[in-house]
Amino acid sequence: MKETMKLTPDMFQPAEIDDSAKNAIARPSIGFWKDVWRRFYRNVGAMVGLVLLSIILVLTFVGPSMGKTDYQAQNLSVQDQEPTFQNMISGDDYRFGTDNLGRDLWTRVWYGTKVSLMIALLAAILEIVFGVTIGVISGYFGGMVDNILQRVIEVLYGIPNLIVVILFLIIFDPGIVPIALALALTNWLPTARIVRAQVLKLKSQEYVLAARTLGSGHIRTMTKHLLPNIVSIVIIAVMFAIPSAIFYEAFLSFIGLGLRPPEASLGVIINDGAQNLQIFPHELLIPSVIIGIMMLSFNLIGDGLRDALDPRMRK
Amino acid sequence: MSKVLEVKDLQVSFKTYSGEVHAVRGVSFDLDEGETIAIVGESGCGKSVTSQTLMRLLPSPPSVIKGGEVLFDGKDLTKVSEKEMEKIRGAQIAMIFQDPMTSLNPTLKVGDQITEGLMKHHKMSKSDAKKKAVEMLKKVGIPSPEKRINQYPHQFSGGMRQRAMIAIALACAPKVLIADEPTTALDVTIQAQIIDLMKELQKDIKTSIILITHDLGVVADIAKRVVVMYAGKVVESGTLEEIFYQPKHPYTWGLLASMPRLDQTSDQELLPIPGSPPDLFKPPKGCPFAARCKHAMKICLEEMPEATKVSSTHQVACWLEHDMAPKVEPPAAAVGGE
Amino acid sequence: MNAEQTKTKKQEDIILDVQNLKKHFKVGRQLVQAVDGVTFQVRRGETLGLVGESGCGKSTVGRTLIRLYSATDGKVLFNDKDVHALRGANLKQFHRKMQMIFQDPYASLNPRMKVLDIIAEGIDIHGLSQGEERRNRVIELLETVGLNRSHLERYPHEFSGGQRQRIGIARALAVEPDFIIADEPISALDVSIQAQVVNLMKRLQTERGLTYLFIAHDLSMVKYISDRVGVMYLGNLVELADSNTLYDEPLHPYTEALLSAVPIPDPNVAKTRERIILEGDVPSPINPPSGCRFRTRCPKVKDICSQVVPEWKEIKENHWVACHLYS
Repeated sequence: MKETMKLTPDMFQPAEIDDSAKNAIARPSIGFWKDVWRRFYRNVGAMVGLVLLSIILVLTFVGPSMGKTDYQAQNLSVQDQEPTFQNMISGDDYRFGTDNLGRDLWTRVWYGTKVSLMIALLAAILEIVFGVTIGVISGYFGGMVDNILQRVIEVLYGIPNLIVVILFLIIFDPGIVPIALALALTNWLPTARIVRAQVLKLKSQEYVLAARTLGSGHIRTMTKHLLPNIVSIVIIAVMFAIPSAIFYEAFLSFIGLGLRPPEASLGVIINDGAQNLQIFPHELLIPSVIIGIMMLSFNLIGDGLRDALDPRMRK
Repeated sequence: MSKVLEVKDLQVSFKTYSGEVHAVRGVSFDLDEGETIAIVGESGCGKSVTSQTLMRLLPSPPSVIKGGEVLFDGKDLTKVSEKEMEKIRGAQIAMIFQDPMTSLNPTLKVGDQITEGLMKHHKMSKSDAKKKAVEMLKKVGIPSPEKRINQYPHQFSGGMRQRAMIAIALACAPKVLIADEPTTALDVTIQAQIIDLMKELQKDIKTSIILITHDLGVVADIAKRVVVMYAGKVVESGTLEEIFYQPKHPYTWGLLASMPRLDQTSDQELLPIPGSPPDLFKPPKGCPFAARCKHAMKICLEEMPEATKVSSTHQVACWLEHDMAPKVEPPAAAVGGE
Repeated sequence: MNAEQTKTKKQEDIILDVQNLKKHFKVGRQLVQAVDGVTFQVRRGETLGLVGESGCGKSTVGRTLIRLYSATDGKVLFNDKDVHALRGANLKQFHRKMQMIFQDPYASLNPRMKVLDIIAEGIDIHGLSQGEERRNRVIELLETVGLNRSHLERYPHEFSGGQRQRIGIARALAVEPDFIIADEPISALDVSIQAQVVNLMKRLQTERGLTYLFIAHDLSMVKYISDRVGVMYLGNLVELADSNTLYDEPLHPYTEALLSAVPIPDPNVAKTRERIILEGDVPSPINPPSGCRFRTRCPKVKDICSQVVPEWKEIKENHWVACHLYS
C-alpha cells in the first residue's frame, strides 16, 4: 500500500468543480475518415499493397517514356530479345526485352497496364453507379418496386456472363469504353444485392425514422441518411471489383475478344506471350507477374479497408 | 460460515489500439457458502468484466489481468491453467447470461445441452444424464420436460429459455452461480417468475450466487449483501439493509434517489446524478465519482479514498468518512422509505 | 359546472383523439395483429403514459400515430384533423407539430452527421433558418438540453448514451412541436442518467407547454412522469386512468399483476408484499385468444371471457377498463 500523503483540514474544503466539465468529452475529436486512415495505416498488409500499387501506378505514367521505342513500334532485327538484369537497371537496351515482333516489352507492359487499369476503373465506376442506384431504390421503396427489380435481377443472374459480354463485343467494336461497359453490365448485380440488403437494414434504423418524422422527403432520406452510411461497403465493393475487372479484361483479350493488337493491354500482351511460352517465357512471365502484383495489392487494400471501415471495431 | 470465493484487489485492463482501458481497478469481495451477493453498478462500471474474469471468459488479448487474485477452493483462478479452468467452469462455477437466446446453442437440443456438462464433469452415462436433465427441467418449472428436452432453443419462449439456461447452469450442482443481468432482457411479469425461481432454487440447492445487475429492485428482492461498483472500483459494500437504509457513499445515495418508486407518490422530485461516468481510458487520479459528487472536496480530486469500515460488514470508500470531513446528511429520498 | 359543460370542456382540451386504431402487419402469409382497436384521448399539456410488455403493441401505436406506419383501420385526429388523410402543406405542418424521441441512443443519430447537422435537420427540411442564424438556433437548443457549443462539430459516437438522448430531444424540439411521442426514451440508459433525461423532459414540458405520449415498460418511471396511464396487453388497451388511481386501485387483473411484479428497491417492502405471479407467456399476436386476450393467463377468468370481447368503457369518471369483471 502506498504512503498516504499528509492530510490537512484544508483538503476537506469543498472542491470547485467546473460544471461544464461534467459534459466535456475526454477524447479528442477524430473525424470518421481520419480514424479510418489511422486504422488503415497500422495494417501492414494493406500498406504493402498500397505501396506496391503506387509504384505500379507511377510506372504506368513514366514507364512508357523510359522505354527505347513506343509501344507499337516494331523492330524485326531484335525479335524475342531476353531481358537481362543489367539492362533492366541501366536501361541501355530493352529493359524487359522484346516480343516476337521486336516491340519494346517495357513500354508495352506499362502502357498495357495503364489501359487495363483504365478499363477496370471505368468498369468499377459504372458498376457501382448501376448497382448502388438500383440497390438503394429497390431497398428503400420496397414492396412492388422491390419485387419487380429483384425478379429482373434474378433473370439477369440467370444469363451467363460470357454470352452477354460476347454479344456486346460483337455488336460494338472492342475498345476501352465498350469493354468497360460490357464488364459493368454483367457485374453490377452483386453490388445491387449487397446495397439493397444494407439499405433494408438501415431504413428501419431510428435515425432514418427520425428523419421521416421530421418530414424528410425520399431524396433527402436517401442521400443524407442512407448513402453516407453505405459508403464503406461501396468502397470495399470497388476495391474488390477492380481486380476482378482487370482479370476479366485479361481473360477477354486472351480469348481474342478484347482489344486488338497493336493496341496493348495486359491481356493482349499475355496472349502474345503465351504463343512463345516454351521458348521465350519472359514474354508471358513479366505481364503475368504484374497482373499478379496488382491483384494482390488491390485485395490487400480491400481487406485493410474492410477492417478499417468496419463499424463493429469502432468505439 | 466458510468462504467459497474470495476476490482480492483484482485489476483487469483491456489493451486497445488507442491505449489501455482500466476496466477493473482493484476490486475485492468475498462470497460465503449459500449466500447471494449482488454486484450493482451502471454499465461500464466493471461488474461484468469482474464476473467474466472469475470464469476466465475474457479473451486475452485484449484483456489482461493486471493484478490481484481470485481464491476458489484453495486455488488462485487468475493463475490456473486453461485445462484446469475447464474442469472448474460449468462444474464448480456456472454462469447465466442476460440474453438466453445467444447463450444457448441454437443447433443443439436443450436436453443435450444439459447432459453435455453432466457427462463431461460427472462422468454420467447417457441415460442417467438424460434422467437428470428431465429432473432439472422439472425443477426450473418447465412443463412436460420429457417432451421439452428434445426441442431446440428457438421453440422456447424468452422466459422458458432463461429457465432452461438456469437448468443447464445448475445441473452439475456448482458451488457458485454467477448470474449476469439474468432478468434484464425479460418482461416484468416474466422477470418476477425468474426471481421467484432463483429464490426457491437457492433454498433447495444451496449454491452461492453472485448476481450482477443494475436493478436495485431485483437486488432488494434476493440479495443478502450488496457490492456497489463505480468506474472499476468498489465504492461501498454491506448487507442489504445497510446499503438500502444506511447508505454512506454519495454514489449509492444518488442511485437510490434517482429512481422513482412505484409505492410512492410522484410528488417527490427525482435527484439525478449529473454528468456521466468517467472514461476509463483515462481514469481520474482521485475518487472517480468526485466530478459528479455534490459533496466533493479538494482531497477527492487528488487521492482515491481507502475503504473504511463502518461496521463489521459495511465498508465504504469515501473521504466523507474521514474525521476532518464535514458531516453530510444523505438526501431524504436515498434513505429507504419515509 | 354541470355534466354537459364538463363534457364540452373536456372536448376542447383534446389534442389527440385516437378512435379504434388498428395496425396489422403481413408477415409472410400470416397476419400479425400488432394493434387491434385502441381508443384513447390525449389532453393538451398532459403526459399520457403507455405501458405494457414487449410485443403488446405500444410502440406500434406510437409509430402509427406519427404516420411512420399507415393505419389498417380507425382514425387518429390531431387537433381535429385526420392524420392519415393529410397531404402536402398540411402534412408538412403536421411533421412540425408532432415529433418523436426514440429509444436507442446509439441508433437514433446518424453516425455520419455532426451534431450541428443532426439537430438542424428539421430546420433544414422546413427551411426555418440558414447560416449563422441556423447555427445560433442549434446552440440555443443544445443549451436547452444541457449541452453546449463545444459539442457542435462532434460526431454522435463521441457522446455517452444520456448525451445522445439529449441530442435526440434537441432535434425534436428544433421544429417547435406541440406534441412529442417518447418511445421508450430512457430504457436504454443507466439509472442515474434516466433521471436526468426524465427531469429534462419534465422541465421542457412546463417551459414549452408540451404534450407527451410516454411509451415505456418501466412502470415506476411511467407513474412518475405521467398524469394518466394506459396499460396495453397484446394489441389492446386494458385499462386507462389517472396514474395515482391506476396504481392505487387497479381494476383489470393484468394491471394488478403487472404492478405487483415490479420490483421495489426496498428490502422490507420486498419481503412483505404479496406478488401475483402470472403463469406462462404472452400468446402470439398472430393467433390471439378469442374473447378477452388476457384470459389465458388471467387468475380471475370466467366462462364469458373466451366468448365475448370485453367492452372498452368508462367504469368510473376517467377510469376506463376492458374486463368482464366490471360489466
